[in-house]
Amino acid sequence: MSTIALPLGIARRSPTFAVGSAIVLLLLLAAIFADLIAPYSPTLAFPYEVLKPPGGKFLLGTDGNGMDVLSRVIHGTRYGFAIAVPAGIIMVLIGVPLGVIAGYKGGILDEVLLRVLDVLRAFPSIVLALAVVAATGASLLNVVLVIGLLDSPIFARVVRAEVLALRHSTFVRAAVAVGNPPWRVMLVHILPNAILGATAQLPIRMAWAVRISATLAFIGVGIQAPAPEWGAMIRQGAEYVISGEWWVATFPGLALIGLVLGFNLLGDGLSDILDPRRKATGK
Amino acid sequence: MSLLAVEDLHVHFASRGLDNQLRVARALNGVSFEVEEGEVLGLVGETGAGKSLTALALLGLLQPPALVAGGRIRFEGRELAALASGARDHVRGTRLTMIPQSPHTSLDPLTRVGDQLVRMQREHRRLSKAEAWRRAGEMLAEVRIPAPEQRLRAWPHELSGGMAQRVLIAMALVNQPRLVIADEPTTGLDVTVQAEVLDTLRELVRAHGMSAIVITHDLGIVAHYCDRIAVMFAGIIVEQGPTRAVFREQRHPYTRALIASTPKRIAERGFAHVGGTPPDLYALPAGCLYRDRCVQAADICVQPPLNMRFNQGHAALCHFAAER
Amino acid sequence: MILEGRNLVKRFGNVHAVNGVDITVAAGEAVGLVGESGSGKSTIGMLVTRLLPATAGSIRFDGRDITALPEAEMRALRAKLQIVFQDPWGALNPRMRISRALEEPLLLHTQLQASERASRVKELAQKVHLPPAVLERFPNELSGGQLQRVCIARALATQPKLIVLDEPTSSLDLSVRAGILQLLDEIRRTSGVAILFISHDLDTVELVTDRVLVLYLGNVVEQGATREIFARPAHPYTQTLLSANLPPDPEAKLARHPVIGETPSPIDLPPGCAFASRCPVAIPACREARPPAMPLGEAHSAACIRIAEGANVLAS
Repeated sequence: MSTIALPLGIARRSPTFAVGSAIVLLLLLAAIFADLIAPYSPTLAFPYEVLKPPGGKFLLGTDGNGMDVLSRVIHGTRYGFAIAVPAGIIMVLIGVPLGVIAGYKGGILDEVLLRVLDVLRAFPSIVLALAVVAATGASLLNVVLVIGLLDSPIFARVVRAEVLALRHSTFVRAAVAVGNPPWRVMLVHILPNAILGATAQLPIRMAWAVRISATLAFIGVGIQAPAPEWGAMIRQGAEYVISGEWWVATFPGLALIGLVLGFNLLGDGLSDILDPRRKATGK
Repeated sequence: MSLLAVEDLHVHFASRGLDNQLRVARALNGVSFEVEEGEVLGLVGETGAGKSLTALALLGLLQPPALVAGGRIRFEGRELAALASGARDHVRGTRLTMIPQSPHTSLDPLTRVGDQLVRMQREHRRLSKAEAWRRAGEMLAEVRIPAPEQRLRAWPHELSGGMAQRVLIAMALVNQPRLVIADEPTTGLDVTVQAEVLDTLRELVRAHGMSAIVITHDLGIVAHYCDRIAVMFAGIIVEQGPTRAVFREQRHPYTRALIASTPKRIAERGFAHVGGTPPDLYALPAGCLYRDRCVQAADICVQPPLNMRFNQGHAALCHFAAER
Repeated sequence: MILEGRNLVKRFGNVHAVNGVDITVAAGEAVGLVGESGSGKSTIGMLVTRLLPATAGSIRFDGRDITALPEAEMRALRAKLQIVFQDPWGALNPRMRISRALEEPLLLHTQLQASERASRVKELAQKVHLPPAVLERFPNELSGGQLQRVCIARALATQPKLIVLDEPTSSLDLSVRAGILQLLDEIRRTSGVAILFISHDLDTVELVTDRVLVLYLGNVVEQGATREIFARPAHPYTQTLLSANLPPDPEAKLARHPVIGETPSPIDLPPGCAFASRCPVAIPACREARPPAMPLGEAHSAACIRIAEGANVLAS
């Protein structure tokens, strides 16, 4: 199979995945090469060029501090990924073992997980995040930790559901019959088979992380201006919308929608591709 | 003239892989057979041989990616493919019907048994509800369901496996078809129940002068319930003929291997060397499709074998069919 | 005795799956467990391998009481007590190469070095007639027959004393099945491993086993030498079962005994003989108490009270 044929085949099977990964890839490149692409420093103020409309020297205009909106939007992608990726890693590191053990062993751990999930379901997670970040301080690290921890149980639930389905499968029973200790059954036999289904959930949870972090910043408890974080930029720009300077909030808003949408499409597309039923019929 | 004549039927599956390449599986490669009035034909073969696919093609129920790539199916003297879809539906509901496998998934769980039988009749014939209901009761009695009047009001989930299978037989026979196709009619049933269900089916087929095609992988069922046998391998019928004649003398090495594989024969004569994997339908070789597994294979087998005919319609697709 | 199960009982809620079964397997012996759906035959396989806990009864394996052996100790014993399942497509980890699946029991139960394990894996593949190329593949790249050979090789890896085979051939095609049966025959002759062969297929059981237990609704209704039972079945159920079998030979005469209805559900079983509700020769006394096993000859017995008066034989 040629190197171009495989991506083409995947794109054909799931256009959703193709579009999602293209968006995410594009924004990731923007984040990596922000210093090269952005025309100015994101925090460089032009005191005599405050609230300039898009066009000319400032392609997307300037904000209330006279900072270039385009440069800030581009650098904002860094915050997007700086939140999404570590939060995603925390979710995997905590959620996967939790889900596997709870699903396979059941018992007290499973009970606790289910109760925690009930609590998380009952409270809007944004309220919890808000409370915790307000209490611990609004550094990037805190935001990442809070979002990662809050979402881990939800990720664990996805893994747990996969494990429950696998627990009674013949090959897991056969693994026990051959003499595998429980840790090996979980690590070697269940985990590699459960993880695939959970993979599709990861980008979706990462989209959630980006959204929550922006919301926190928008409310004013998250990362604060003048840091080029999209939520903070939207908050700053919101006051100018009434007076007609729409560009300050609109462009970071579009970027935010783009990244969230990209992650979501990526996740949906992945679950299309990984779905065993579709795989079976495609055979 | 035969009730059903299938001539050189080809069915292909077209699919695209992850690499976007179009792949064609040649699932049926020239199936030809006939079913006479009042005859029960056993269609046997292993997984992937194309037994169920043949039935679906006969009924016109193939769904993409499967498509009929060639051949003719004549039923009661008419070319089925030439019929308009309405006429074909009518043939399928009244003249040529099917008993599906897995009774419990084939019945509508939300409709009472009697109503399903009524619906089956009224879809295809002008008939009052009361008349259809009366006939439904008679039909349940015919398939030996005890207390048929009460069973008409039963829900499918209230039926045991054997009862559900009998209801499916009643559904297939209620419009008095000329030919009924039974696809693995007793898989999932216990041995003791299987025999009784088959007895009932055979009696009804005989009593109404119908013909039947029984699709099965169980040579015991063919041996005792079918007049003729057709053995499929890789989408072709490699041997067919009267059941007794074929069991007495196999003309195709695959049939011979199949019969030698039954535990009874092994117990009598020991293990014969059999086995091997079925050919890859995506890349079928030229010539005899069985030659890679055949103990008799010789140079000539790269040429496609002719269908050699013997007495009483016994025929085999093998260069060496006349020997031994 | 390599395996000795006494008065085994298993309930799932109010489902009485196994109702006091005694089962023994001698070293090197092939014992068959025959029955239809609901007979409890697969459950017994799970009980004696301790994959399910028994509700009551005791299990001895190789001279040790394993009924309540802690799981950690049980694990070490599993090297000698193996099981092969019905569905070869589901019995192997889909993300594990065949070589690793075969290596796993050696890794768990032996002190062999990696290179020694690798050569043992090759030997195992050879023993079950798998081409070496198969070892580097994943389960979905193998056929059903090849997968079942892998499962059998895996069970053989640690030189067990008993292998429980739970319908090992019923989901396979006829010609593939014959290959597996031939393999089992070879293995028995070369390794002397004992076999508990669970199946609903009478012809296969007749071919494979030395001794057979006929189960009906979680009870042993008849047991004895395979040849003896197939030639002279005594219990009305065994007679019915054998008469319903269709030999693949159109010339064979069938002598069918009619049965009444189907196997009742194993919920809230009535007292007395479980087969009484379908038995053509049942009398009121059959429904009163569970019939004891009546001896019929050397190691042949059937649980039917009508044997005493000679009224157990069904007319055809």
